[in-house]
Amino acid sequence: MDTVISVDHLRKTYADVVAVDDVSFNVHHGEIFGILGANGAGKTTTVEILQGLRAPTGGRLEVLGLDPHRETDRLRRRLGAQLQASALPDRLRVAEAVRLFGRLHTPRVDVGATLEAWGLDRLRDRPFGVLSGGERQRLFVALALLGDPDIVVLDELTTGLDPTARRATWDVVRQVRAGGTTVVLVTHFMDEAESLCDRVAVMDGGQIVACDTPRGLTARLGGPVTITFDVTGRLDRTTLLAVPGVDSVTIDAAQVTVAGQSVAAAGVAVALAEQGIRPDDYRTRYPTLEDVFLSLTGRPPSGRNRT
Amino acid sequence: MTGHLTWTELKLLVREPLVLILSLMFPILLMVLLVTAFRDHTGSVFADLDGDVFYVTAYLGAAVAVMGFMGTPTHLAGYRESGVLRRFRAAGVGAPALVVSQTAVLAVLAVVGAAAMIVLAYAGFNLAAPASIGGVVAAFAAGVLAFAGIGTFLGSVMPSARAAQGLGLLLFLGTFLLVGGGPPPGVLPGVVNDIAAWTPIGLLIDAIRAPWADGALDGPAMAVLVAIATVGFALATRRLRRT
Repeated sequence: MDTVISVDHLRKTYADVVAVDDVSFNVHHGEIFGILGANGAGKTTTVEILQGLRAPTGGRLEVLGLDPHRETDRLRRRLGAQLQASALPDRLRVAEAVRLFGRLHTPRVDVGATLEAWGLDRLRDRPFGVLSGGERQRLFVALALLGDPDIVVLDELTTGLDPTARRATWDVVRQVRAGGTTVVLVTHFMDEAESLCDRVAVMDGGQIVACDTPRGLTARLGGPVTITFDVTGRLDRTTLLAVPGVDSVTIDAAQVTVAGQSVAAAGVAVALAEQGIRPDDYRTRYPTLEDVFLSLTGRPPSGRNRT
Repeated sequence: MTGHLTWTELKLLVREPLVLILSLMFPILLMVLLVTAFRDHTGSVFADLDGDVFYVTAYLGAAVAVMGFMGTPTHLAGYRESGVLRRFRAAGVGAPALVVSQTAVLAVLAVVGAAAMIVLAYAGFNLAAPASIGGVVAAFAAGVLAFAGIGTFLGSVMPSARAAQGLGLLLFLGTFLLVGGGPPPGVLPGVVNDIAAWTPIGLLIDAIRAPWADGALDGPAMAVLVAIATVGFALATRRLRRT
C-alpha cells in the first residue's frame, strides 16, 4: 500500500487567523480519501496547499514524492484538480476548454474522445456560461482528469446539484477510482463521504478530529444502533435486555426503542419472534457520519443534505 | 500553450464585440469633436502643431491608454474574481502565457482603435501625413508594450473587476485630461505640464508626436516607455505566479 500523500503537522496562518492547525494524515494509492467538515473548517485551505496553490506556514508535506510548494509545475502534471470556486470564461465553448487544457499535457489529448467519454459530446459548442451546474461539474472533472493524473482532488463536487445529478456524479467518482486514480474528496456532505470514501478525515476548526473508515468512525463514535417498533399487548423487557448487544430498552406507550450495538439488530428480531410478537413498523437505524460529527464537535453539521 | 491561449482570448474578444465598441467609442468620438473644433488652430498652446495633428496624436495615445488603464485590468481582475485565473493556474497555465495573451488582446484593440481614428482623420479632415510613418509606428508599439505592462500589473493586483474599472477610470481621465484630452495643455499652469509630460500617457503622446512632426524619434520618451513595460511585465508575472 504506497503512500501517495503524506502530511505532517501542517500549519497555515493568516495574520492572527489559524486556518490549518497541526494537521497530519496520509493518503494511500488507489483510495478515495475524504476530508469532511463544515464550511470554514480548513478543508479547502488544506487541499490548496497540497496542490501548491497556497504556501504552508509550517509542517512537512509530500505529494507523489514532490514538494508542492517548490516543485509545483512538476506536480501539476501528475495531479488534477477540480476546484471549489472556479469558473471558465463565459463564452468559452466546451470543446475549446478541453482543447485549451489539453495543450498542457503530452501526449496530445484527443478532444473528441474526451468529450464522448464524459458525455459532453452534444455540448461541445455550448458556451460555459449557459451550462447547468451538473454539466459544469462534469466538464471540470473531465478537465481535472486530462492527461491521466495519478491523483485528483475534488473539492465540493456536488454542491448545488439536484439529487439525480449528485448520484450521477458519485458514479463518476467511483469510475475514476476504478481507473486507478487516487481521489482526495473534500466535502461537507456526510452522506457523500459515507457513500464514497474508503477513509475519512473529519476536520473542524482547522484540525483533524478523527480519521478512519466510515464504518470505523460510526462504530466508535456514532453512538448506538437503535431499533424501534410498535407493539400491541404485553412485552417482556427483560428478554430483550438479555439479547447480546442490547444496552437499553425504552417503552413509550406502544412504541419500543432498543439501543445497543449492531449485533443486537438480528437478535432483537429473533427474541420477538420467539415470544410470538409481530411488531409493526420495525426499523433499525445505524449511526451515520452526521452522528459522528455531532459527537465530535457538539454541533450539527451545516449544509446537511439528506437525499 | 501561449499561442493557443492568445488565440482563444482573441476568439473570446470577438464574441463580445460590445467591449470593442464601447471602449473605443469614447476616444474616437471625442477625437472627432476636438479635431472638428480646433483643426484650423495652431500656436504654442497646441505645441506648435496644427490643431488636428495635435488631437489625433493625443487620441492615438488615448486608444492605447484606455486599454492599458481600464480594459486589460478589468478583464484580468474579472478573471480573478470569478475563479478563472485560479482554474488556469491550477491546471498549469503559466503566468507568462497569461501576460502575453493579454498583451496580444490589448495590441489588437489598440490597433483597431487607432486605425479607425486615422481613417476618420484622413477621410473626414484631410489630415497631413506624418513625417515618419515608421517612427510613429515604433512609438505606438512602445506605448502598447508600456500600457500592456501597466494593465497586466494592475489586473494582477486589483481585487475585483469593479475596483479595476474604478481605478482605471481615475488613472485614465486624470492623466489624459492633463495631456490634451480636453483643453489644450498650453492653457494649464507650467508645473502641471511638466508633471504630465512624465506620465505614461504623456510620454506616449510625445513619442508619437516627435516622428509625426519632425520625423525624429523621441529617444528618452521611448526608453522610459520600454522601461515601464519591462517593470510592469516583471511585476505582473511575479504576482500572477502567486495566484
